[in-house]
Amino acid sequence: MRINKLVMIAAVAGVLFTGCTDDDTPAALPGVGVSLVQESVGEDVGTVSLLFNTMNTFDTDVELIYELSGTATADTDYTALQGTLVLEAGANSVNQNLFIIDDAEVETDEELIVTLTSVNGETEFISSNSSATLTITDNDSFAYENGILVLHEGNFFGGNASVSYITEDLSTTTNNIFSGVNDAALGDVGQSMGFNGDLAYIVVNNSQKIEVVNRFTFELVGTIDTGLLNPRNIAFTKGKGYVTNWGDGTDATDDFVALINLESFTVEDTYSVPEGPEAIVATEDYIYVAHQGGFGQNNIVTVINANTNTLDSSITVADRPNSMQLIDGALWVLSGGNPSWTGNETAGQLDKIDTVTNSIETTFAFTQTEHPGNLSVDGANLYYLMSGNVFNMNVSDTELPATGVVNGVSFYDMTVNNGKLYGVDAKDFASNGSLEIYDLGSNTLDVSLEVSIIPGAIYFNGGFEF
Amino acid sequence: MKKRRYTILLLLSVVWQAAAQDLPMQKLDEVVVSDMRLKRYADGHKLTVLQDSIIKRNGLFLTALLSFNSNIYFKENGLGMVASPAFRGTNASHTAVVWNGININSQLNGQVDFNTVNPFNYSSVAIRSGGGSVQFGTGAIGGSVHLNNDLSFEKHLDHQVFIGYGSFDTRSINYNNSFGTGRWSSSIGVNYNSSDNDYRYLETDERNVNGAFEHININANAGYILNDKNVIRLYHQRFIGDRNLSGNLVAPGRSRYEDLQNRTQLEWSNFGRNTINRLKVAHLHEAFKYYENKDSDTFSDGRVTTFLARYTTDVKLSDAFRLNSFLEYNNFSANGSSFGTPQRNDLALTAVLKHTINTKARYNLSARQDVSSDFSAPLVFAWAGSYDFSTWYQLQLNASRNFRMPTFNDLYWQPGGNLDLEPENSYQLDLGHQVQVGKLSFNLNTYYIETKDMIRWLPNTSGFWAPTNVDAVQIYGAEAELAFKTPIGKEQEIEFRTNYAYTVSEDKASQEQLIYVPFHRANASLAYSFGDLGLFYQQLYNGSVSIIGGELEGYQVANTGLTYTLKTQSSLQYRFGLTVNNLFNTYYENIALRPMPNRNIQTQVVLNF
Repeated sequence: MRINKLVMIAAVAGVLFTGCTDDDTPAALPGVGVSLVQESVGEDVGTVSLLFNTMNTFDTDVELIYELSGTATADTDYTALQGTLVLEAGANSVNQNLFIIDDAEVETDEELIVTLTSVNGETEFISSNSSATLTITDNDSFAYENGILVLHEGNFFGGNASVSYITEDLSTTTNNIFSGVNDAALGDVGQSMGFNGDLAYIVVNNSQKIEVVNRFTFELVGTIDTGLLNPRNIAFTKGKGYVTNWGDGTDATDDFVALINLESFTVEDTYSVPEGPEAIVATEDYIYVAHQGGFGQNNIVTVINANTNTLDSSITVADRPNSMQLIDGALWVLSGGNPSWTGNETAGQLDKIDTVTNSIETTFAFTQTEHPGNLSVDGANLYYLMSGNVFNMNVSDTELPATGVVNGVSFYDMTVNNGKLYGVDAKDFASNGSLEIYDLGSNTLDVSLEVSIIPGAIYFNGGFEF
Repeated sequence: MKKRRYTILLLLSVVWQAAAQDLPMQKLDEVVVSDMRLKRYADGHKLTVLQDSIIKRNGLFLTALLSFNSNIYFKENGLGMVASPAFRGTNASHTAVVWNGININSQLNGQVDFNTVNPFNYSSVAIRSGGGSVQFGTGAIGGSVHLNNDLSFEKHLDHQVFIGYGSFDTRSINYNNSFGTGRWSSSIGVNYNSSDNDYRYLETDERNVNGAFEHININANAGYILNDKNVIRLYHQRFIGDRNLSGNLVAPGRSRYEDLQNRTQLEWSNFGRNTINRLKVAHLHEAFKYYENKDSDTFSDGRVTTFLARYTTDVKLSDAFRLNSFLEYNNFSANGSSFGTPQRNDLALTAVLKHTINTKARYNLSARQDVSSDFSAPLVFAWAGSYDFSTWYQLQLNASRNFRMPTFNDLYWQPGGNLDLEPENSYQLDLGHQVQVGKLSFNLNTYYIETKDMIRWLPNTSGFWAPTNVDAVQIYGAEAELAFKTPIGKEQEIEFRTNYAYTVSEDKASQEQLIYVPFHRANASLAYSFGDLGLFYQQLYNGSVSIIGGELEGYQVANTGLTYTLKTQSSLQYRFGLTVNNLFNTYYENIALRPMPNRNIQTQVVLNF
């Protein structure tokens, strides 16, 4: 209320004051200014009008000289102009067309400042609107921004690992983006992908390598192909990468975590760890490695101190821990338990671990024949897959859910994101698989999209930020 | 056909001279030939026999011999690596390999790795096209390949030493000996083959870094004519293989595979006036060790021991009818890191009735029932006959039901092994035309095969792979073979052979061609000899095949070779040979991403004395 009153008083006073000055001063000199119809345009706008105008006209033609400055570059962002034009006698305005160049480059928004520097060689005819600023916004994006990336294992020794990209609106699927961009096969068994900054690290298990690409363009940046043996997953902290490796699958004693130098893309060091390191996540200070057990079975989470790069401790969970999620400083570890064919069937288990003390805070026990996997998180909601059914619980729940929210799926891998459930179905492992997207509000299938051979992991790409 | 019969007759007449005092003439072939069923009960089927001169041309592996000289297509994981056949568009376990009358397909995976068989050790390799489960057991769906050691009883003592050396440090040393005294016959063969096999992949800077292999084969066969009614024969072979397994263009190889196969069979034959009784006992042992890392001591292993006993009676019922029946017992016991220690007992009863209607027409009607301790086997049967329209044209027709038993891996592998599996079930029809005009022979076969309940390993909801009887496949195609052989003047001879196969093998559900089955495949060979000089050229065309998610280009590859024979004053005879494989240095992949060898040269020196 008070503000409204103030504005009103100011407005009334303004009108009165303006009226007075008009009356008191003699006829004003012509004053030329510059203005724009739109102050912000997309780079695909085409032509923009620079309008030079004056309230009072000149008796003769006058030459206007102006300058273009700012971050926009002539002949890159716009077609260069001469910088002069003529305002005819008696005319109130003259228009200069400026052509904005629509390039394909992904760039920051540009500013173009038009400044009138002289009118007939003088500065006295320049009005207070001597300059105007045009913002040219980029309409380009990298090929694989804002969408879903599906990593495909491909067949063992089939050499057909691949990555598919699906646009955010789910309208277009592009398969084989790695080989499409880099004109080379990705390799054999695409195991997992990890992201650090603008880079994606694609762990290619049976090619014993990691391909490093720009996550938005998929252009190859580097390859880590020495020092890895059966690499599985990667995590990052303190400017280093950490990769779990089985070593020889048949050897329980040669498993290790490789420390990756992210500048040189080389293995800088290795840490010998117990059998079967699989999932890996990192906090600022610790790296957590779930030991599912490789060809065998294991039941621990190894903790590596990222500050000292030493093995810190080992937390015993249940048999075959297969997935982990960090939620609000707590580490949630889902163990599948031993399946019946091992001859020693054990129950699955969900553990919540305090990442300050690295000790188990809460344990949820499944029954002996229940073998959950694929722990995923969306906000405070946990999801996991068990016997073809997807279950949901809140991090604050005190009991495991009794029934699934989406049932009867055959997901080879799944994840949740922003209220949607994403699952990949590898079908018969010889023909194209699919990405199935369910709405988690209604728990119904939104869409099923055909992807490529043996889709095994799903990731999300946001927009590129400068 | 004619040519072959003539050769056998010639061979028999030689044998007869030595053994005439002991056995009536019509029984002699029964003594010499290791599996009479191929001669007497093969009517209505195309039977192609590759003899010694062709066998010697294609080096160390049965795969190469058959690739260039038959219609069988092979999938080969690189030179010397695991090779499996696709006979008439069927899969690797649908070709039965029969060694001197016994099915030797692996009990573990149902296949024979054709790169573990050295063709030098056999007097002939026969290819019987079409279903043969009634007579040759599990897996004889596309056809069967027969490895035969015929025994030669005439008085002789022959030695042969074969030394080969060539590209990629490939070495081969073979010694063969054949001995006969009239009553006694024996043959011994010892082979050692090794290769670094580190050929450069054409069009890349890489090499086949993990492909070295070393093979040892020992063969020993013997026969003894006890008296005019009784003959004892023994066949033994041992294969010891040690191979590194090549990787491919995107996955480095680092594993190693050790193979051991040990086979022994002893047969007693009793010849009555109209009845021949045989009792055969055999011991087969197969074992492997797989090293994921060739430099490590850690391995997984498996072995199966088979004890076989077969009683056969072959009765001449009348001039028109003959009946061959056998009862066979098999006991299998296995032991392996991934399948525990399963045991199985199988019993098979087979009867084949041959009816010779007249000199132009004859047929075989046969049936077999297997009883297994682990699953129920179907009653299989066959009808096969031929009719001679003229001296130069014979029509053949066969129809049969065949099966493939689940293997030990299918049944017992942990995890996944499924004891509820049924045998695979196949029906087929095969029509053949055989034309023999002078020195030219021509065969044309068309066939249809329908196989149901095919076992396929698929992932289940528990997260592991398991086999089920899901797939159904229909196959049809045509095969043509042309052979021509003639002397030119006194000193020259020319022989030309060519094969072509058109194969449609499609999954009944998807109606799509199965992966790794070429629609078109052809080969041709030309051999020319002039006195002591011999020259051959052979070429293979393998059409493109579909692979998972794509297509693998077809290829053509050619080999050529030269031999020179030097006779000396004594019985010593030398033969020098030079073979150039992949003459045109073609880049080709038989399995996707596994480049095959570039041009390579192999030399041989053979001493006969």
